[in-house]
Amino acid sequence: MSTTLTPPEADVGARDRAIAEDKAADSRAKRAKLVHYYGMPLFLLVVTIALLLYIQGSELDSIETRALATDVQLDRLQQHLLLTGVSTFFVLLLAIPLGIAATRPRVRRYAPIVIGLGNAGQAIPSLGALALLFFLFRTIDWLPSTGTIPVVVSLIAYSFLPILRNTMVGLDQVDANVLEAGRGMGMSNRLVLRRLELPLAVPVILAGVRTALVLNVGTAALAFLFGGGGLGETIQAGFQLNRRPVLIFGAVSVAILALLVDYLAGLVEEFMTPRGL
Amino acid sequence: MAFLEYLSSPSVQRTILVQSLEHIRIVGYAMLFAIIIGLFLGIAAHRFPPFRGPILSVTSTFLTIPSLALFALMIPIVGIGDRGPIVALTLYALLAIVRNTVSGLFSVDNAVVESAAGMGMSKTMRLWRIELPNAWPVMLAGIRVSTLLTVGIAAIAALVGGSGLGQLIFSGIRRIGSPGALNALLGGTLAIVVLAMLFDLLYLAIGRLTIPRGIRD
Amino acid sequence: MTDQTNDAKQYDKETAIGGDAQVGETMIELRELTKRYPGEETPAVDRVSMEIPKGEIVVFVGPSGCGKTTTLKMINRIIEPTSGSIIIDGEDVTNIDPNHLRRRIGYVIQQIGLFPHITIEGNVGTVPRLLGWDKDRTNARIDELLDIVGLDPSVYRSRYPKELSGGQRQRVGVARALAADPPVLLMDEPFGAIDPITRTRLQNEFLRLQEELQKTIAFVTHDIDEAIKMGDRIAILKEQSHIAQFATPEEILTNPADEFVEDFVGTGATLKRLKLTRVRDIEVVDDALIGRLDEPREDLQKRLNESEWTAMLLLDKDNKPARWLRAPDFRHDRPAAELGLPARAMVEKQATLSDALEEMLVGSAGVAIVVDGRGAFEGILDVDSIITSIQTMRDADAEFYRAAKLIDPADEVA
Ligand SMILES: Nc1ncnc2c1ncn2[C@@H]1O[C@H](COP(=O)(O)OP(=O)(O)OP(=O)(O)O)[C@@H](O)[C@H]1O
Ligand SMILES: [Mg+2]
Repeated sequence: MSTTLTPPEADVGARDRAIAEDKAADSRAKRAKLVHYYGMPLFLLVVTIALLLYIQGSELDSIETRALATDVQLDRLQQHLLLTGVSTFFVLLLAIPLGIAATRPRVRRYAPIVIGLGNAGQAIPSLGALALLFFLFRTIDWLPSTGTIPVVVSLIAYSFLPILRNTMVGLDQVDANVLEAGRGMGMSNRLVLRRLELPLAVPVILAGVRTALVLNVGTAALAFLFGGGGLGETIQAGFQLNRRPVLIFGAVSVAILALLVDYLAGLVEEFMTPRGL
Repeated sequence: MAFLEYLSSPSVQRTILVQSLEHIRIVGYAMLFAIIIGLFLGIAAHRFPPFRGPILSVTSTFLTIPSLALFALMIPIVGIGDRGPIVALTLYALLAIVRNTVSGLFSVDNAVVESAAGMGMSKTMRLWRIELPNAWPVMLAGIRVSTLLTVGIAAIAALVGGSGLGQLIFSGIRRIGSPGALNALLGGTLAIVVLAMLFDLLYLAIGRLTIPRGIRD
Repeated sequence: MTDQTNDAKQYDKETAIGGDAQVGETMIELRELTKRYPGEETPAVDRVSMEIPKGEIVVFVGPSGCGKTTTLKMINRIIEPTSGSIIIDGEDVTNIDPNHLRRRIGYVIQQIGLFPHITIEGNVGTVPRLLGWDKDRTNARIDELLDIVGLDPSVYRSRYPKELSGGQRQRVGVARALAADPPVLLMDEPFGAIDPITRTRLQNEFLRLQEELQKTIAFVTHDIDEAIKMGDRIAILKEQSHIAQFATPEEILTNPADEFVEDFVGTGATLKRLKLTRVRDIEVVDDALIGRLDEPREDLQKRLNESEWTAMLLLDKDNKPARWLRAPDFRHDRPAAELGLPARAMVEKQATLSDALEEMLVGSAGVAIVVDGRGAFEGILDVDSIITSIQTMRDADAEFYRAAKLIDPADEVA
């Protein structure tokens, strides 16, 4: 070590940088929290205002004016929300109890099959799956072959597998030690489910609600393809009529709706999750 | 049986082949861009804590935007054709790549990175020689998930004038109620599933070739 | 603080007591080294000053959380000091490029941190390659190092870390740290995660290695026994790395600076001290009553009766101890080779007194037989001589410390 330790290309500033990095870590947490709660609504507000100003500022021809009429848009929004809400409600009603049932000790060993199917299902393109389901439900006699109902049923069927899979994975993750401790204390299977598993599974269920909502808001945008209406209609109109303001309005409003739904569901998820989890 | 007959027609085979290649091209470009950008963002998010939150929330926001809306939004920006879908798919593919890059880098044993530092490797050397190779299996898993996702979503491109197997499905949707619809729907959908499986095999092979024996399980 | 360590060094120069550690020039010097972690009120390490002499192992030992690791890692600036400076071999390295600094400092940590995606060969060759050695030189060095740490290169070179046992991994860790022959080695609980038997073996191997290599080593442990065994000098640290005592193991055991050190060293200090002194350092009885296996019984009996000894040790033709004979044993009508008890409890001269004591307790005769490397008889060690030697050590130490305090009363460690 008789030679000097300092070579020409020495990274002499490393130490100052390390110290500065140390300091920066301190103030970060507070800012992150603010952004977490107010960032998204603020962003959506800005985008909404920008969208309205853009439409307001554009010279709309008669076709565009008709396509963007307020009552038409509100109608489609209502359809969209209805499609989303109804399909989410039913898919949760079906998938969550089934998910719980499918993770009971007696049938648990079949759980991987269902989860595997759910994974494989992800490879099926939404457009194709939705169309095939719609095609299938149209052929069922006691279902009406047109209108909202076959579309809603398709949406439910489409989101069923992912939600079921998420529920089962979530329940599977409930700490096995806790359950064992419960059984060790002499709790029956049913008691373990009610006192331990379900409370511990609340976050799983809430996450399922959020996932289902976001999934369905998105798929509902494809409902127009099957005569189900919704905001996708506006996008379609803009594309078919080659009207830029209509296209933009449709696309941006769908995006805003999806982000808003996700944000609100996220808040609900956060506040309803039992503390300590 | 009608479907098999449908598949045996040379013109159908040609359509499926051509559209498959288009599909692969769209997905391939999107993944190429997503891997480059995602790797960069993932490394940045890992290394610079202030960026971590923003990078992850922005990339996950992309994924929340319904595909039709994002594809449509691309038209005013990059025009009609495959460019819009490629950009949109790139955005969709980012999250899994970024997230897995970050968690892969975090999963590298601290002691390993520290001893690399202790041996006098610079930050860049540590990243390329130690951290990335060890994070690679997790990163590759993210890339794989992203690819499967984009293979499926790419079908939506057909709704906004793009190419790929979505066209076949779309033609089936337009014909729902008339004969031949089911064949087109099934043909397009199954072809996409097969593509997804082929991509999966490809990643399996890449994993075999690129993951060092020392960290394979 | 600086004064204190300087003074401690002074004593070593002036008196022969205090271990046989050679005090030469200083290799590592810490000056007022301080680390305050972000968001913490009090510094984790507070103004440590210390000099580590060239070629010595200095052990940092202290309770958990006292800042040993932080202090050690500031030396190669894995943790950047908040203030203070580090001087290595006369050069202030506090602000130079840390990467170049680290390539000249070997670094071994408890978790080892072998690169899992690289073979053993690649792991060991990392620093030589960073330093731009050519292929042949690197390869030769890898083989040499694996040999040194007792791993057959032809077997282990191309293995991956997960294909080794914990002890083997730690050996590779040491080999990797030694690769570019760095003059300085930093070791943070290097043997901490290894089972006790393997640990003892690795410690011994490492000490043997150090005898040849003469590296300057800063070594962290929380185990006082390991500190005593490994250290030429021990720094006992209190919270915030305040030095409670920085001295040779002997000094610490015989003259703890304060209650903290006393408590930390524990009640077994004298017993621990026995681990420091070797059989060759004390006087053994070499005029014991000796007989030969092939001598006639009558001669043996006569010699035993005439002597003041109560027992006689019989040696075989190779001078190896064979049997213990007492007077009553001659009542039996058997050849000498079958009389009395077999001779056991043999120790070599390098054994510690602690080893010898243990042997004595196990053996039946209440003494240990000192033999050379080939097992030939050299002398006898009894409990009395061990106790005498403890007494002598204590007296000498007490005298030394009285003298030391007279020289400079300011030295008294708080
Ligand atoms: N990155 C860090 N940030 C904040 N405080 C830290 C950090 N690392 C260590 N500390 C604190 O600094 C003090 C000293 O830690 P250090 O790791 O040096 O202790 P140690 O003596 O090595 O302990 P052990 O024997 O348990 O390894 C402890 O109180 C610890 O909590
Ligand atoms: Mg420590």
